[in-house]
Amino acid sequence: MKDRLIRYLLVAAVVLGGVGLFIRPESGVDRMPGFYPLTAVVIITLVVLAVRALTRLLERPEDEYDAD
Amino acid sequence: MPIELLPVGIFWLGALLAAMRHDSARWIALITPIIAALASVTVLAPGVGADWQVMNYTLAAVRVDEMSLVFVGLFHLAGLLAAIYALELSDRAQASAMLAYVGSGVGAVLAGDLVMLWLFWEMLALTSVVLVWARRTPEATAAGIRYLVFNVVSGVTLLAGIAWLATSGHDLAIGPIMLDSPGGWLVLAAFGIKCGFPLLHNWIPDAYPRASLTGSVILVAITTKVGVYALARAFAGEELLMVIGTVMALWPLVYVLVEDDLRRVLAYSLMVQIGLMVAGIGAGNEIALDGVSLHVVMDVLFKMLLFMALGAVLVQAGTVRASQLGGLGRKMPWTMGFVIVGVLANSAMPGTGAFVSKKLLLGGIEYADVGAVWYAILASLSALGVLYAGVRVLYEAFLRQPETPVEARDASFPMCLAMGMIAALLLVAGLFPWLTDALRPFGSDYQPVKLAKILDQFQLLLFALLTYVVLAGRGLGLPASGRRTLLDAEWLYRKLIPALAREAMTLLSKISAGVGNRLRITERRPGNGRVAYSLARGWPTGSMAFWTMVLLVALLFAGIWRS
Repeated sequence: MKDRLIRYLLVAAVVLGGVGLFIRPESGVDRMPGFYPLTAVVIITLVVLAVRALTRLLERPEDEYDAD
Repeated sequence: MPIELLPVGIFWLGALLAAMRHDSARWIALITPIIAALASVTVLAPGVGADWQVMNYTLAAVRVDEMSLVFVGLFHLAGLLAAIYALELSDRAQASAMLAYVGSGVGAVLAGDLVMLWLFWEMLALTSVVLVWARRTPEATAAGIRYLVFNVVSGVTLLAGIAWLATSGHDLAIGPIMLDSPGGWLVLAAFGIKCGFPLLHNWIPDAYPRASLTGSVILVAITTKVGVYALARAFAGEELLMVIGTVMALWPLVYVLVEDDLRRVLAYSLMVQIGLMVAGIGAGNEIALDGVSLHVVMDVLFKMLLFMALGAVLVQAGTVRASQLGGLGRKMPWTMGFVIVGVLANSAMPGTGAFVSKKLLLGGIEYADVGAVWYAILASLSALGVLYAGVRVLYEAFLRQPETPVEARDASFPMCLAMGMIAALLLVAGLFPWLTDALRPFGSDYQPVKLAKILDQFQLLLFALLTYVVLAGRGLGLPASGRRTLLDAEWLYRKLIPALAREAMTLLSKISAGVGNRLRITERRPGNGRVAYSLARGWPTGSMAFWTMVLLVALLFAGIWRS
């Protein structure tokens, strides 16, 4: 199920990424081909990994504030 | 009071009636926004203004322009939608507080000077806390007190800033304020608390999820948005705000992606969107400010929609904890349908109004010549919405198989009606974007709906989802939902400061005991024969309070007499 989902997403990503190489904004910092795919991959990876690390750091039992 | 404040007066009259008439409070709550909106149309137009003579002081009670009208219209709409959502509610305290709250919000965005703004600022705090307490749980009561403390501190800070500006000869009319004096910084801090700047934000995720169902729906629409409005009026173009906004948008991500309480997830995600707006205000150009106005409208709509849906889930399933939910899609199909629209809007999917507003806002930020990396970080926030709104709210509550079956029925008709209206508005705004041009107060001609922009957004969302699925497949997904506390800045004042205060008190009492033993200045012999010392007597607190009051009253009368 998960492999199939990845396959579908990959096909869609290749198609959209390919079309996106030719249709670009006329100006602005995002006119570079691959700007958004690259942004998504880098930011999501960094955020998810950072969140995993921070969760371990910030996690406490649910009754942390019960004494209030 | 000037006639231009009639819409506010109608809301306050509605609040009074709703407080007195228990059986018809819900209908009063429904009708009041409609009548107030009609009154607004007749008395408010760009350029309208009115003064209010109070004693020897002339207050600029009302100053209307295109931007204030956007917010006035939005607050009326939010009041109406919340009233429809709460049609089955028979709680006159909530109905009354909601109307007074919406009226205060309308008054705040109509205010022509900082004193009037401060007046409605305080009214917002006092009326909205009732909506938090209306949940009537010990947690809601405690959270309401903390909420009130933050908001009253914001009001006091604003008043101090106004006083400073007034004594230094600054014009108090609503308009640009420079950060060249402590007065300016105080006003910025007051607005910052209302917007939820980092470290000043905890009242939002603390109180909103603990408020009543109707309370949380209307709270997301007004308090923080008044803060955004005030910030846009006074500090547009202040570059510091771009930094604060970016930090504000990134700070809550860990909580958004891991919190178990889905209403808390939405409260944190509200801060992400406000961070984007604050960055837009920092950019300060016309495109960005138009984007801020439009995004405020869209954000209110999709946040209200998602809070409404989770309210319906709370009523039906008895919880909004992700770890205890699942499989609600088949039992609450209408609600799930509305959530899908809300999630699409939260992710700025093309075809929803939020795509138009977010692209307009980002267009303004891009025009401010931020670097590519900075722009990429802000642009990718909508991709993260796929995770926190799509994966968490939609998947965890509605689509995945629950560990234990959850009994539920679909939301009631009034709830579905309110959610359906919002979903329709979001889709209409996305499919016919030119209709939103009226919500651009500065009339910029930037066109966010272009084939390249649409394609870019699809790429962003698709690659974000693909990246996450691949990461999750390799065991690097988000931590599983579970009952836990994630420490936030509130730990500072709920744990650290009380602990330090306790230590300080212990130390002080030791010092006091030591000094007291040495300072036996006056020996007194009461009737019981025991020796007592003047410094060891109990403090006559009641007497002190009385004399303080007498002095304050005397000062007040002296001030009035002098003026």
